[in-house]
Amino acid sequence: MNSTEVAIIKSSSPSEAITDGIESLGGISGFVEKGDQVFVKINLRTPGGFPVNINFDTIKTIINLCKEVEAKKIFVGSYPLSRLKTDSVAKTLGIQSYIESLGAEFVFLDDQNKYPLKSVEINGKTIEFPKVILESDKLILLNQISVDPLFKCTISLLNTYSLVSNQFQKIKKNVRSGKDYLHLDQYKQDLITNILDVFSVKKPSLVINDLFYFLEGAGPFIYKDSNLKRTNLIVVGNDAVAVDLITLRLFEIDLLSSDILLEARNRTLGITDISNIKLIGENLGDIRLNVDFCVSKLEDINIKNTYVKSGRTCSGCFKEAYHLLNLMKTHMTKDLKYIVNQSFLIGEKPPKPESLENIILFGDCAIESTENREFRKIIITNSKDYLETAKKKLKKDFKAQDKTTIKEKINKKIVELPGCPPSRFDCLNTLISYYGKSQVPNLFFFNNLIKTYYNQETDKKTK
Amino acid sequence: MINHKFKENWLKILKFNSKVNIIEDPKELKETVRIPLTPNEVNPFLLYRLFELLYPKFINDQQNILDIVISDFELDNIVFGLYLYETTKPGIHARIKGLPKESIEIKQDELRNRDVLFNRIQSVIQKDHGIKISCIRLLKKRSIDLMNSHCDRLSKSTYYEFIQSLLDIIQILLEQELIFIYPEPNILRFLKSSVSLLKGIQFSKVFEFIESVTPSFNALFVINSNNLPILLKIKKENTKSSHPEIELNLNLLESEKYNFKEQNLLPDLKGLQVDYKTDKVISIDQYSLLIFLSELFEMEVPPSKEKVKLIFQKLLYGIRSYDLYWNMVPRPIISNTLVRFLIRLFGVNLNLKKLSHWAIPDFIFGLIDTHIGLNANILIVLTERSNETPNSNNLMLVRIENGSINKLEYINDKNFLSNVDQESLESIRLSVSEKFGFITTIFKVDKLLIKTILNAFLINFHKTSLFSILKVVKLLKKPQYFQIYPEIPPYTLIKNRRSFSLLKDVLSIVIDKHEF
Repeated sequence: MNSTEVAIIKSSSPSEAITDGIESLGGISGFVEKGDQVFVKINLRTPGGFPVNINFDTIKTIINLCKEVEAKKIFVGSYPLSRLKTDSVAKTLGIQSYIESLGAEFVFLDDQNKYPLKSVEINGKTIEFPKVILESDKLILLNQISVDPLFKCTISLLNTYSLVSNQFQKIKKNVRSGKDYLHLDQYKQDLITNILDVFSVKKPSLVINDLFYFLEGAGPFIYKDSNLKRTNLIVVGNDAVAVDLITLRLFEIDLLSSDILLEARNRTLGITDISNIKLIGENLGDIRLNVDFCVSKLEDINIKNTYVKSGRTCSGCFKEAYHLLNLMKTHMTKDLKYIVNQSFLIGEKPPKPESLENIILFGDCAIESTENREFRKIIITNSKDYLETAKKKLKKDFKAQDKTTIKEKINKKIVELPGCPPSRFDCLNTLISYYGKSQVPNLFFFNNLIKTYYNQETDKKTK
Repeated sequence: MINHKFKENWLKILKFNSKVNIIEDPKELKETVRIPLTPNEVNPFLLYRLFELLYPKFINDQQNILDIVISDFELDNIVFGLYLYETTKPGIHARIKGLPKESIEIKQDELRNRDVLFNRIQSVIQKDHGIKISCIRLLKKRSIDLMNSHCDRLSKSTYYEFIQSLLDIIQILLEQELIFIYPEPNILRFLKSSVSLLKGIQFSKVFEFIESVTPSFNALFVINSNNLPILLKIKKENTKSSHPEIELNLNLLESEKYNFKEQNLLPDLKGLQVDYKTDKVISIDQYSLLIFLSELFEMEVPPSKEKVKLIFQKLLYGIRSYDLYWNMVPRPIISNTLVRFLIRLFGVNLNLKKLSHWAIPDFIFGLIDTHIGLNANILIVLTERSNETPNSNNLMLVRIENGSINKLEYINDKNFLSNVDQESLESIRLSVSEKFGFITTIFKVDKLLIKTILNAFLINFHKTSLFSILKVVKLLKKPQYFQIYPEIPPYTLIKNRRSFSLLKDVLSIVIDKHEF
């Protein structure tokens, strides 16, 4: 396919925008046929509210459109965030009954008895893909656009990644000989390769980038610095790469600034030449969306009483640290006042901390590269005992007079958060045991809260 | 045009205001006047001082006002009446002068461009009467009719009915824009936008609901200041009849009698309690209260999340400032050092003066944003277990956009729920979602829980103790009194944790750790 159509639609409601968008591309019958089995891939990240997950009114619109053309079966689903069960997310959102009331089926992808996996070979890798998706005639991506710390925006290509389980999403640190893992940002390269591998297994027939409400500032989860901006826009098409390209263009991000789209072009996974994309609806040149993207440096996350310093960091650690720092800023208001002073060091060879108290070393790089640094030890100088010195002076015992003892001790006010990257939720446990419950009451409460839905690994060794 | 009793009373007020400066001790005058639109008779000097205090602060702080009564319909000249008040002091209406209605001509279209209209009227009045007006108040004829019918009912209605009638009138005046003031004061803008936030929710129904969940009480409020200490007595007595007996009295505080001096802002509250035969006396610093109110009225409606957080923070700061900005008799149990010491032995820190006003809003909003979302439709189902009438639950829809309330909607027509199992929140959610858009969360709250909360934290605040708080926590866990569907993690935590340890954890967040 050398050309494609992409619609940019502005409307007064998200559902109306989707209907108009699909209509402008020839109607739903151009994407779904009678008797088709359709899988609608949504965002289902955590048991949180909109826009962490998809807008539920838009799912209704899509299901109704599919029903209009008499689709045989409509499935809706996604894998949630790592170590979360679809069941707990679905229960918290009450999504199953809602989807069923609309005449579709909500799929618990992690229930392998009901929805078995099938091995798919791609680029020499074996990916376990849910059979229900592979066997569906059509795949529809309904994607909520928000800011993202690594890719600027949560474009639809990223959404496809949660078509496979977290086990296959995990990027293992694979240092190639003679190559600098950090300098080349191998983590991000591996991540992009994996995402595009998953994407190429089953290409979507219809892609909807919903940016009607756009989460700016901090995201894609809701943090203190998050702000929901109404743009009234959605972008629709059948080529995910082209739809993402146009979506990014709305934010004035071009192809060359997007690593993932560049790689998609190299692998010819979609149309990246804008002259081959026929635009329908709003004029691309007329829209300039001014939004606040995520910070590009962790130091820019302004947290009370916290001094953040980074060394050379991989994207994996950057992303996890970004989320951890934002969690701290959002859910530790009181704790940060009690802590008074803490230094957060991340990456290889980070600058020295502001003080010798409460030093958080985030990630293996920071821990290993600072093993012999000065702040690991504290020097204790025995203060002079003036009374004793005076007594000895009187006794004329000059030898003993100026004896000042200097001792070197291990600095115990350091908390290490190992891993590459460390899991942000595991870090919370470590921070609680370091600071103590009374020092971090907010964090203690928040940790108990996430325990209600998050499976915490207990075997992780943290100091 | 205006009700004769209202007019008579208003002229009496004006007469008193005009002679205040020549009376030796106006406070001692035995005559009384009614507060306009209410059945309350008060000392005219108190009303004078109230106008002097509140009018410049909330309405207009400049002199001379022109009242214009206008038609509701399109006419060549919509002016029905012109009344000029020459005010020597801002807010003090002392002299009224009726002007010929032909002296100013206004068309309906001109009401859209009020600054131009004001400037024109101002120059006409200045030219004809040599007075520079600072404010115009435009009253549509229908507003006068509404006020007249309200005044007619006053003598026949109970206090409860009077409040309902007044609230209804205020709502109609604001909704239908029957009153304009130029320059528009913040309070009017605030009220107008608050009314437009409510869809189908009547002020009088809100009052009816609040009344139904409030137990009987008898309280005296001392709105305290050096300048104008005011006493406000509110008594509510639930009776066997459908409506309670409500009593509301406004008086000036006798400074000498109750040891009230400039240096002592805390008068003899116990003496007041005995003399006014009330259960409790609450003294509030007037200056702080007025500052809080003026900041509240300055707020845009719907307010941004940050603004709500700030106002909430200020309110909490006011609550924690016990002995500084407010005081009460009988003293709250939780302010007793010995009681605090004893419960501290059990690891519970309960200290009113250490309420974390700076951390609580962030904590609450963080939980709401994370678990409910920045855009959400919340359905509140108000139940009454004692009422077995089918479909009697009250349903209210709260629409949230970017973390702040965007619309409050009362669901009047509940017929679509007639075939739905009222006990199943899941079925209710699906039916309401069908009609009103996706319902993110349902909060089912029973009246008894609201009553218990009001009783524990407001009406009987002086009795608030660890046990009364635990009682509320226990009720929150019982599905017949409180339910959230789908169950969000904070509620799962509340349900799964033991009440006492949950309370300890929450108190460590809402109360500051350090004593000094």
